[in-house]
Amino acid sequence: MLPVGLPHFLALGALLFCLGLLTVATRRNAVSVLMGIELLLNGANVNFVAFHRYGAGDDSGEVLAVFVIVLAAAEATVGLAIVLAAFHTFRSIDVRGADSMWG
Amino acid sequence: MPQRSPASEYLANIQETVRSLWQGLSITLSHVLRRPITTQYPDRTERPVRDTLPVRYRGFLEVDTAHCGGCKLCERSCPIGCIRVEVERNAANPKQLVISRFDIDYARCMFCGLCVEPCPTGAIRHTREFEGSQRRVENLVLRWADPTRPFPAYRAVKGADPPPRAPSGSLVRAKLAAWPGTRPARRTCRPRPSGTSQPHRPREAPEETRMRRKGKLGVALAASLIGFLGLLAERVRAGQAPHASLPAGPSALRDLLFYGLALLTLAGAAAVALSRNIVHSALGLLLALLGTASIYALLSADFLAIAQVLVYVGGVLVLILFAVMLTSRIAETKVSNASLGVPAGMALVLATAPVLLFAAFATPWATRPPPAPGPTTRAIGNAFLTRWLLPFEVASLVLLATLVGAVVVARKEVKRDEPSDPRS
Amino acid sequence: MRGCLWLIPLFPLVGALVNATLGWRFERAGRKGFVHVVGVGAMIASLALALSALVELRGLAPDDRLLKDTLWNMATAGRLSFDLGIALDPLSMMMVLVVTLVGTLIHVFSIGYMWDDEARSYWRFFAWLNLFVFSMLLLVMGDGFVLLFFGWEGVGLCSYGLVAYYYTDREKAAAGMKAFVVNRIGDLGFLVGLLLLFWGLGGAWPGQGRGGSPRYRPTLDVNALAPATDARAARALAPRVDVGGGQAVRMGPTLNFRELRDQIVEQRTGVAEHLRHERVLGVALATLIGFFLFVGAMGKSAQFPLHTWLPDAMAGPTPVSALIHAATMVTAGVYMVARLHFLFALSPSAMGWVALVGAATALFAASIGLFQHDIKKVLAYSTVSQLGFMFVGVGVGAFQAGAYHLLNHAFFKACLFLAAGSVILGCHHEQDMRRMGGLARRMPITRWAYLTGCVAIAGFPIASGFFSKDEILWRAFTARHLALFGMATPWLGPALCAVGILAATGTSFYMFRSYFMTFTGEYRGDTARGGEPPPATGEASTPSRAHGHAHAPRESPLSVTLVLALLAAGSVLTLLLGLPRLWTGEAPLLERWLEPALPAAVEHAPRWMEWLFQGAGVAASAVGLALAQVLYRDGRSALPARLQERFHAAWAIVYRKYYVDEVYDRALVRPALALSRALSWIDAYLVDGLVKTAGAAARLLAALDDAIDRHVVDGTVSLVANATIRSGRALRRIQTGRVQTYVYGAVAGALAVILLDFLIR
Repeated sequence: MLPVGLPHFLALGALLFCLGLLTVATRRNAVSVLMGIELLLNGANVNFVAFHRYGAGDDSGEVLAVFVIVLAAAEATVGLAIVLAAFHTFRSIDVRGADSMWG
Repeated sequence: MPQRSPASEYLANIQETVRSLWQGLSITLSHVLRRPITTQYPDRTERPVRDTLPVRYRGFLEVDTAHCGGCKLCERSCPIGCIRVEVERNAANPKQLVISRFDIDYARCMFCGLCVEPCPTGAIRHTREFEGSQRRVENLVLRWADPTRPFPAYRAVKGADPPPRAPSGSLVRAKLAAWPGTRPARRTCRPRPSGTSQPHRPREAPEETRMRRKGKLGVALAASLIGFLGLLAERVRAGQAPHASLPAGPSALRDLLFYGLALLTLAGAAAVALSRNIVHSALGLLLALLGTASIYALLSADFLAIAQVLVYVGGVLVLILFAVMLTSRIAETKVSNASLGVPAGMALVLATAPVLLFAAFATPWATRPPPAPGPTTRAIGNAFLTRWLLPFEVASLVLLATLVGAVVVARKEVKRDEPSDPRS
Repeated sequence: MRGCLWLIPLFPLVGALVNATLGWRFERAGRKGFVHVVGVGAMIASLALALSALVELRGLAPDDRLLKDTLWNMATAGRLSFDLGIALDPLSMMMVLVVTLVGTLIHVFSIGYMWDDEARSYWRFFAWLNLFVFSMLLLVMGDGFVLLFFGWEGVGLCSYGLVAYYYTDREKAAAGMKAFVVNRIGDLGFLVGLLLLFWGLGGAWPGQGRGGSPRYRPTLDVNALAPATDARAARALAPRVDVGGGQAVRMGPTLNFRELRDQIVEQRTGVAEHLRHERVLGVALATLIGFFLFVGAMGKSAQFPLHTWLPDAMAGPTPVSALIHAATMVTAGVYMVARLHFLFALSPSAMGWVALVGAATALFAASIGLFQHDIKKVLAYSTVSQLGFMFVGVGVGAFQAGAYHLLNHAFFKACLFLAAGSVILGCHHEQDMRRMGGLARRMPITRWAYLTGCVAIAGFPIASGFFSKDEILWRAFTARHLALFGMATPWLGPALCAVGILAATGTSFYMFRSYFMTFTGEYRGDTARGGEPPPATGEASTPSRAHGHAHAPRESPLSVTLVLALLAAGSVLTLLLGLPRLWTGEAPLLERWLEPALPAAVEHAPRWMEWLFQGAGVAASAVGLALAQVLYRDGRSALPARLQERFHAAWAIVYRKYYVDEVYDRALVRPALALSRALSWIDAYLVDGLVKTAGAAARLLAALDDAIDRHVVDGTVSLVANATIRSGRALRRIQTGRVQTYVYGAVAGALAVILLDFLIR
């Protein structure tokens, strides 16, 4: 077993980020995409906190993490509101339908 | 035996494995030998399709020349003019009429049946034949009369029986079969006796099983990949600067705790990424968020951990669940397939992960020994009101805007003259 | 008059041009009369001018009788220069008068004859006729070989145009072509003779060839003429030989008759010696020249073996036969020999040859004429025969007799032909004598005209023919200087005379035969008579077109009968010109007239012989007449038919003209046609094949170019365009409109930047 240090937490954050990327990239359901976005943000947050703990900087890591949480909440709210509005209009939340920029 | 011995259990396991393997494979093989569901038309239909058609089906026209009286009513009544009849006097016997031409252009015929109705003898009638493709449109003109040998027009003789009728469709079938290009239907397998048909038994959707198996496989792959990458990173790191060591403590437990929580988190995230069911994805997200909160706790960020739980789990996740419930009435989203293809996403991830991991493990981070764990709330609060005041205020504004915006966006337009949608 | 000689041929030329260009308009406008007004008017103008020239000529002293009109210099090449010159000496004057007078009469005849002709090209006939007279006048009035030959060819052309007048009938067109082609063969000989003469004279540029005997060396260099700027200067610079009397004969090659005569006749020039001694292939040059020039005469004047065209030329209208094939064109050969008498006199062999051929032809043609059924054919063969007589005359040296016979023949043959035309007209275009008969009562004027002509041609002293024919035969009898093939043959003269007498008997016989068959007895026109069918198509004669309805023959209109009467009177009156010395004691008028141009023959026989001879001649004619009368008068005798059956084989040979035409066809015509077919095949397949190959190669090249242009050049352009479109289409797929794709893009881009950064660092 490896002694856990900063790199491990960074690795965890990286993996969370990757999984979140996978979700965003492959999911058809818009809500799933939002879930993926949350994962992304969480991964970044883990990085922040790890750096706050182990890194040589000041304590801005936690503060940033708090901000991230706040903004993630806000963004989730708005995103889900948009999803609901789209669902009202199109009766579908398949992200493949939002391709008006196609071509 | 109250309790199995490990050996017999082992053997029983092996037995179980083989049996189940055999069963599965035998089911598979049995499908190979079974009749296909697909009916190959027209070679392997159980009955000729024309026999399944209604009796009065208006298919190709057929002219029984033995009954045709040369009245030309059919020609006159055809709205398109696809019938052409020529009646002449017999040169040898001027009292007798002969029909020297009776052409029907099937390319034009619209099968309306207006010609059949006025025919006094029923010489022209519809059949149930509908298959008569030709390669050339000219071949669709059937000539029921031979100009070199005109047939005499039928005159009913008092007291005599009318000539016998050919079976419906036989004449036109003979004419169609005489064209090059049509092949007789081939029957290669036993036709089922008519009347009995196999009951349609419901089976488990094979797709579901396959997908399930795929999902499990994916999970195993992802786990092994992560482990492999980790080992790789370790190897890389072994040649680099010495890593920052953790503070003293029961490091083994700490490490184990870390790994376990990390696994949980990642499992939850994997569920979000790869689950078929969106509710499972939401639950996976819950798990991931909780895991992240516990990681924060591990990192002595107590306020953050609680905030995470409160806001993320209690707020965001609930919102997401609401959204899922509100929008999951549509059947297709329940099965939320990967659209761009898991392989492509996997490729992306496989491209991104090593980079990030390499960055994580290979970079000589400038670390400091971690401070003693203690409550952080006060420090964060101070920071918010001193150094980070502006962002704090702005964040509150953002939240306000979000509130208003979300309400505005998600609100359903209520039209004055329409009743609101009961489903909304 | 001196300056206006050229007007004499000009009027007919103008008439021809007017009729050719405007004649059809006249006809279409309904003014058909204008056509013959123009034609006959031109002839009358020409005749008037000729008469005035005659008057002027008579006013001159006999030795000076020459009217010359040099218009311009036609060409100068080296030492040779020839002018467009027209000259009238007594011989030419006589010919001009014959041509214009007889020509005018025939033109007038044609008015009545051709007015209702079915070809409906009245204007074309008169145009050709006028053009013919123009050519003939050029021929006889030409001052040198150039104009002579021009007229020579011109009359050949007009003969073609007039014989093939009914060109829509294939046989008649073929007859015209035959006339032209046979004439051409003769012309080839004429040209060869002319070129030999030219070469013998030294040619235009000296120093070449083998010409030049030691005594005759061209006395000048071409450089001597170099400073000359025009023809007159060249003439001035040419060397001369003094002949005394202040006159000089210009040396050097010439095509002018007077100069040539001067050069040859004057011994000091040495030309005559040279021509006699120079040998080509062992034959004297003079003989060769004479022989070849006579070949031309043979073609033009229809002597054996180039006689075949004349009977076929009867396919043309009768006035044509009268003018061309009796009076004028065929006599061009005789004229030519007479004009070049000084040249022929150099070579007794040539003259003997001329006389021999003439006599042979006379007998040959007379024999064929014995059995012909078509009246025009009879007259045609009699023309050939009489031309033979003329050549006998000029061949034995009796140039004046030959010319006199020419004159007489013009009148009586024209009269005979026109009378025959009148008969044909009256019998509704019937030409077979077996279907005629008894016309004496119905066409009296024609009958008397025909009878006069027959008397004249048979040689009875009451008409002109006797005097010229007798003169010719007498001269032949007394000629001792003849030679053949270089060997002196003094017996040739009397032999020819005997042949001539035989021919004369034959002439008399067949002419009176034709008279009796046509005019005596009963009219056989409306009964279909058995016997020999009409002539087969071997002879291009007009098939007899007897009309079914019995329209009795009538006398022809005045324009016809007047001309007949005039011609008949002429054939009697011309005897006055040639009354022999035996009778009058002095030279005949014509002899005195022609003295400056043609030498007179020398008398050296006793007078009683001459009287005897004349009596023999009359007797021969009488024998012929008697025979004809016995056999054919009134058509009562069956003897001709029986004799014909008895000697059928011999009769058939003679009737079929000794199969000369068939021999020619096999030996000459068919090989020529085969050759032409072969050449045409070569042209069509080989030559055209080459051309087509070149064309095909060009097309191939063009196709290749086109392919390159379309596929390579345009392909490149469109490739660029297509590549742009396709790449655009492909690249467009990146823009899916889906955010997820853009996420891919963003992350991949970021990774790429990181990796790049890492790698670079």
